[in-house]
Amino acid sequence: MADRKDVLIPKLYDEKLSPKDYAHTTCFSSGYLSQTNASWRSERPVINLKKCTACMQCYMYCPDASIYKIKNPLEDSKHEELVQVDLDFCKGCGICVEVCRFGSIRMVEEACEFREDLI
Amino acid sequence: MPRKFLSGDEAVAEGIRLAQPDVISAYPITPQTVTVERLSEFVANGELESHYMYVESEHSALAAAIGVSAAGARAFTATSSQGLLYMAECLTYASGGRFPIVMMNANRATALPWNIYGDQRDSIALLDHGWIQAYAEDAQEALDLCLMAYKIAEHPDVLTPFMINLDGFALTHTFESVDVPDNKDALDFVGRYEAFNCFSFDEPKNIGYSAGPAYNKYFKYDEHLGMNCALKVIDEVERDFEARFGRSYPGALESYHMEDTELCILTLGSISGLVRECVDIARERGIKLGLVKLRYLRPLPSGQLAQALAGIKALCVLEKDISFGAEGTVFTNIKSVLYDYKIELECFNVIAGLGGDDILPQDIKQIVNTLVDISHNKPYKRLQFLGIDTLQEG
Amino acid sequence: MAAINHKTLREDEFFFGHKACAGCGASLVLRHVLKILGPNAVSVLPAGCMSAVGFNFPNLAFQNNSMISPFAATAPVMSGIRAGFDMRKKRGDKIPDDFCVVGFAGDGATADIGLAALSGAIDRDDNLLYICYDNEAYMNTGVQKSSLTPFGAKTTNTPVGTQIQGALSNKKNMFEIVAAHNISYAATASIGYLPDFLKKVAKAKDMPGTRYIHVIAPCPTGWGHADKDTINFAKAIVDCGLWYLAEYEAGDYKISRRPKEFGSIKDYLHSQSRFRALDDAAIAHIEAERDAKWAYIDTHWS
Repeated sequence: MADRKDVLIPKLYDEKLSPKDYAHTTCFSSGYLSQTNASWRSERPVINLKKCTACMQCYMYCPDASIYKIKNPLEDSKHEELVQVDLDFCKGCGICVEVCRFGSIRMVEEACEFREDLI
Repeated sequence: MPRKFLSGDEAVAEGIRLAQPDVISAYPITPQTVTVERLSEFVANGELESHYMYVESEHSALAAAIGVSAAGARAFTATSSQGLLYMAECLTYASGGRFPIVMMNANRATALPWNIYGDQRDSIALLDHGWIQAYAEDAQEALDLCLMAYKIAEHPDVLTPFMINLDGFALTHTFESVDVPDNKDALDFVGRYEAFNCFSFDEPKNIGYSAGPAYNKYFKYDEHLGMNCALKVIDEVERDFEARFGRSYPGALESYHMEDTELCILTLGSISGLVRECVDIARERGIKLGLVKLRYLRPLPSGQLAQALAGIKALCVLEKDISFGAEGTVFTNIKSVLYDYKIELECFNVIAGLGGDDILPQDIKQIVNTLVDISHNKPYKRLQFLGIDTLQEG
Repeated sequence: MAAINHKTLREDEFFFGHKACAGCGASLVLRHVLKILGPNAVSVLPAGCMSAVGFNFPNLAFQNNSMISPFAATAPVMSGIRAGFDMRKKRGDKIPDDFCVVGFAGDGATADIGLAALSGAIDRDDNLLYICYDNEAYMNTGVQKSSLTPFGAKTTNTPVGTQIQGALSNKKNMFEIVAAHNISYAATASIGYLPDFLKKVAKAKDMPGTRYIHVIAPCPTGWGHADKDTINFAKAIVDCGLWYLAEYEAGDYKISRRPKEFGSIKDYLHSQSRFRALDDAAIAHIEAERDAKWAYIDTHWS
């Protein structure tokens, strides 16, 4: 699972559950995930961190909460926080590209390799 | 312990008052209405500290009870016939979700034709929906069942909702003198609901989710085990009840004069009282007749039934329901036990009391005559509708 | 009231890892409402998209206490949870002061099968926040018509045929039906105007009694548009006047946004495949209905 901040969020578990663990009631720990959604994508968003203005609209409008705030990894300290895509759960819908007013995000085909010089 | 002159409905209201549910959500329907009215009076007078919720339908009544249970609180609802059928969808949410809700059902005929009087088609039609089903003979048993129901339902190995059935009008609206336990003693017995399949703010839960083909059967199997486990828990709870209140109950079925008999009438609910009297009369006249009163239809007490019926030559199953195109459902259940335990006997099914039809001593006498005939190898009809296939007097 | 934006919203994600379609409007509704309500919200979801994608054992996407209710019973299950916890608190159990019960029900679960139960809950004025996420059809079962499906929409059971073209009835006005109960608070919203929606949720959060927010949440699958355009359509439906943003409070109806000039209804409709068959006459009819409604709003609402 992506290296997200320590916030309250459902987590991915890789366990083999046996009926005695779960079948006595229909009540289970909340936020228990056993699958990622990465395989749904045919394209994924790539964020140009240098162009990103940290307006956080992509973070706000992602229906899958798959864009999250991170500490600015760039050397310049223009913004305290920038954003990162959670590639385990991004479904590649492209809403982030639509809401970004600064052209800082584009979709690339899953089949493509990521090349920095293409930004 | 004070004695009060109570109808069956009122006895349930007293029993539930003593069990102190946290929330009551019920929609009125004849002949359950007196129960929910009395409960509202208890709440209005401060005799019961409960949240009394006015719901706009039976479906919402049981749905609300499910929400109450999910919050870890004790729930109660009550209904009858059409109302039971209207909330039927929620019955499996309750049982599949393992919510130990207690519900009183006033057994009443199901439409059409429209009929407000008592028969048992409503609850018996819903035997497969995973609820424990008990049938009360009299008001005292009804009150006592209210207390025992929560203890049985809430037991961690059981965790199954519990339906207490009272014959409409025949029991709900007739009066008898009833022992009403002391508030404190009753609460000591029932205890407070300690849920573990409920929401928690320290460790949040997801409840009532879907489970697909790979997982579903394990939940259903556990439900089946839970119901089976109830038989043992019923015995334990009844022993505890007897120790505290002095009234003893014999488990999922009661045998009356079954020690030395070859003729038996098996029935359930309030009609057991009349059959009991007829057994006494028959014995006075030299006929060795016994009664098996089925107190719980689910779980089905197969072992106890087999024990009770071993050695019987002729059996009549008397019930107030019919599975159209087949036979009475109780009869089907009993025959299944007979087959499993290789008990060979002659048995026939009398369908009586439909739509509130009276069952008179003369009618029981006819059944006894048929049983005697059978014991003399005379032919008999397997399925008989009282008053149609048999002569009905009066 | 404090602003609700990315700076003030908690970064916790209470609805995450779910199996909603890419670009699902409704999932954005849940995400933000739960962020505003916080970890002690208990959510109830009836049969529908959000429950189907949100909890399918062993993939449970709700971080907070959540449960599935019977389809018609979102409201009474909510009432039961509220009453259950209130009684437990009264008996001395430790229940957080800020716990609240929220329901997320689709348009079908709200306006059709669950209407009576919702009315019952409002009648009781139970302490509940009911959110209707409106994607204008029974989407979970494959896009069938609900009473909130707008006139002319193609659905799988209101197909465009030679004799009948699409849904023939008008969108039922749930907001005004709820308001007519004299509810504590009701509002309409759209994820295309997210700040307005979030503000209404934050406002409703701290009010007593039953509160109802009806939010348009486009569905790319059912509406027939690209995944990426969900927010664009959520905005366009408001801009062309087919959906108004309003509040009902203390007997008064108040418009939150009065477009100076309406966007093109024709463009809005024809860019979704569910409306592609609408001819000029049908569009003119829709425009006339819109104009009539806004004439009423302009006269009677503040």
